[in-house]
Amino acid sequence: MSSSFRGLIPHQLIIANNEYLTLLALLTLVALVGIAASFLLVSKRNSKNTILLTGLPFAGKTAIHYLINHGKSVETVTSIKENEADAVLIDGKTPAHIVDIPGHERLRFKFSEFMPIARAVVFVVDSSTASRQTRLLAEYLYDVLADKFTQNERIPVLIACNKSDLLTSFKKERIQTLLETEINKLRQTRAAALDTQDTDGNENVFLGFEGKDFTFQDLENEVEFLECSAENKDIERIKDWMAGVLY
Amino acid sequence: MLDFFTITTRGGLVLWSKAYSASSTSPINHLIQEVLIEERSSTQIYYKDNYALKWTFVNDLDLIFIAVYPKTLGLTYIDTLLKVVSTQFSDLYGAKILRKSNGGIPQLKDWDLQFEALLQTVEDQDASVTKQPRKFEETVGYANTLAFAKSKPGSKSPLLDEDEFRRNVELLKKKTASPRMGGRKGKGAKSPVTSPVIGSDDSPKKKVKEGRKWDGKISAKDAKSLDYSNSDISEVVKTDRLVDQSGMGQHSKDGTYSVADLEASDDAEDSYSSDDSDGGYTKISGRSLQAKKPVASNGLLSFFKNMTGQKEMTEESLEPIMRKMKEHLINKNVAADIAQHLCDSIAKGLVGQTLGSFKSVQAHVKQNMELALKRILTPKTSVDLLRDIAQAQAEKRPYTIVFIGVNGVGKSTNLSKTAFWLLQNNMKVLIAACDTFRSGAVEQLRVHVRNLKALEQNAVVDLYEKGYGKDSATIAKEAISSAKTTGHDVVLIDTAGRMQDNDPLMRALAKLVTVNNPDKIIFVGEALVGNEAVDQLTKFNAALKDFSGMANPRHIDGMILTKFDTIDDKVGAALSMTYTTGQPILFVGTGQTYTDLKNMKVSHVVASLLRE
Repeated sequence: MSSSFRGLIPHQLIIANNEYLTLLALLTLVALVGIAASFLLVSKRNSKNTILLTGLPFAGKTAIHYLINHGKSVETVTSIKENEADAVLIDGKTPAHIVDIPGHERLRFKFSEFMPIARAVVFVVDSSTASRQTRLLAEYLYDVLADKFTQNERIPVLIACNKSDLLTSFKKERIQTLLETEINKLRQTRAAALDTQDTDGNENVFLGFEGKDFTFQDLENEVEFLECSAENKDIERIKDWMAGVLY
Repeated sequence: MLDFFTITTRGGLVLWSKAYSASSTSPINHLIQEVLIEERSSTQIYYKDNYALKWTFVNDLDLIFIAVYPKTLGLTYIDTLLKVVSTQFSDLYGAKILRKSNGGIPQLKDWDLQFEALLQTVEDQDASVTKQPRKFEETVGYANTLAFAKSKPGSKSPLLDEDEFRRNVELLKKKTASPRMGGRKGKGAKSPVTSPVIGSDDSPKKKVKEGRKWDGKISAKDAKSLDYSNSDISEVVKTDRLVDQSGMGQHSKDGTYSVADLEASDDAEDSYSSDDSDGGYTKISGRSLQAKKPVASNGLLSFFKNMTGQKEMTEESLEPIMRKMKEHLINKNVAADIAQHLCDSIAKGLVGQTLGSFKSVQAHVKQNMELALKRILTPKTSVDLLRDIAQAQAEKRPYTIVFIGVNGVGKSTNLSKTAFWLLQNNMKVLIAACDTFRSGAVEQLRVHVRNLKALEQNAVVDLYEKGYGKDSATIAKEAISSAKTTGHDVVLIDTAGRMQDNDPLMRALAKLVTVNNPDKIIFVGEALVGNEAVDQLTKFNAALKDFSGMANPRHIDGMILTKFDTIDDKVGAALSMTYTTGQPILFVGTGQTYTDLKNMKVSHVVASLLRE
């Protein structure tokens, strides 16, 4: 009896063991895959810590860039090349990778090159010339907002109205209405523009809702306005916004 | 005098600048925007308002040195100054800047003084060179005089003199003998005579040549004063140091070098570069003014550098690649001189850069070329015609577009394609037939209008024509005023094709533009055109400018590139045209139907241009 039991129990145990083992193996496999996947996802999330500084020439992008990264006011000229730096926004957190993109029209294509790694975009506006440059501003901002990465990943956009120290500067509310009216017109004409040579997937997006005047609230991504002044080193709110987006 | 000097990074950070007169940074921004960004830096000098600007790059550090001076002063020393300052600066702060490559702002200790000293030296040298007229003894003419011949022996060492004397005797002997035999014998006979006299291992032939050179144009002393490369600079800065920091014990050693001393001695250079290490005290070593190439290329180190692919690009190493690149562009139908300009400009931006490992120079050049092409082809002004038209609508006036170009490029065809596109956007279009020259031109447009009307049921498109032989400027004017009353949104003005060298017709075109002041002047050009593109565009632009008689003459605002479907990947004309005018290509014509008008895709053109 004992021998038969002896023979039976181990046998059952072995079977059970086998099942357990396969189950265990499966479980560990699933767990591993899950961990790996989550690691990948997390690392992807973390790796996207790039914030772009864009805007027209003379808006003060490079000045803001150096203020954020080094806390120093610097004299600048028109940039030919992008400036990149890792800035510690909050002590102890991973630094943000901040890229200052040249504003000159001819170099604007660099913006779309950085878009795939962008987590957020800061669009710097010269508040003192905003009324004269509304169309240029709106065209660039339109490109930023209608970019496929901005659309698909709902990249938040901050519109930083720089040079608020100047007497002639506009308030952010005024700039917002100026831009909204202009983008309202632009989205009509852009939609009606001719196709490009080889249309690889219709990239035409329509900002806001059709039949309703354009407002920034209608966009799916977050668009925020704030005033700042690189001259007076008044850029803390930009930093706060960046930190808010990143962490 | 120098007005302004600045050192900036390519990123736009001003590392250092100094203004000698009330001058803004605006000419510098203009230089960057109009020359450097547009890849036109193969030119050497840029004029803006009353200023002349010269610049130089230090590519491995991504630095730009810019000197601004009044246009009226033809300062000759600016090139030297830029060269001297850039080498000196990168020697002193290069390592610092590279260490802070993460966008840091390097501290430039003592650079003010350094710069002043350099400027002073270069200016002084310039003054001493230019102040007095050349002595007769220094001219080439003098070399042919008897006095020169007499003075020659005196200027040399007696040994050489003797040598020459013997040589002359030998030559005379040879001449009297049979000339052929003499040639062969001469060598054999010469060497035993000369070599013992000279007493060195130099071959006699070389020695003789050397001597000739010294005699030829300038004396050794003059040569030294003209030679900016070495000791002069170092000594002057030394003295400057001495004056400023004489109190510091460390520097007293350096202080002992007097100006006169250094001027004479070449070996002073060595002693300077050897004590480079003493802290806080930076000096201009002779080395700084020499090219860095020889240092990099010596021996084992460079071998390993080559092995790991860490190589610095030099003009020599780039030359064959740039030549190949140029040929490639020309094969793609880019105008030859534009290909040359572009390659020069890119080479200028690459010299001195160091390549990372595993990266071939060719790939790097190609990458830079791609960037440059993208930059050139990307429009710098808005190309949103519809938005412009909306603006005109708001101002309650018709928007006018003039189509110009040489014969047979497709002005009328592409005008009607544009009309079709505008009609689809519910614009009311008036076509003005201002080609009163070629028979059938008006009828051609009439057919187009009929077709367009048939295509779009409620389209408003009309033809304004006054037959042949009339003044086109007047017809255009009438058409515009008629459009105002009839409520047309857009007036498309068709003009007669004309060759760019046809003076009377070009004058007529300028008149049409001046009288009507259209919103856009569109140049229609064939994509098939090669070198001719540059000529056409420059002459059309020149005509618009020269014959207008206005203070602010118009120029071509945009281009339509036609027959784009016929050229496969030889899209060079697109580059030639945008580079020549700086204006965007608004549309490309890609076929025979009304819908064959497209926006040009920059990336597409760039890819075609670079495709093997």
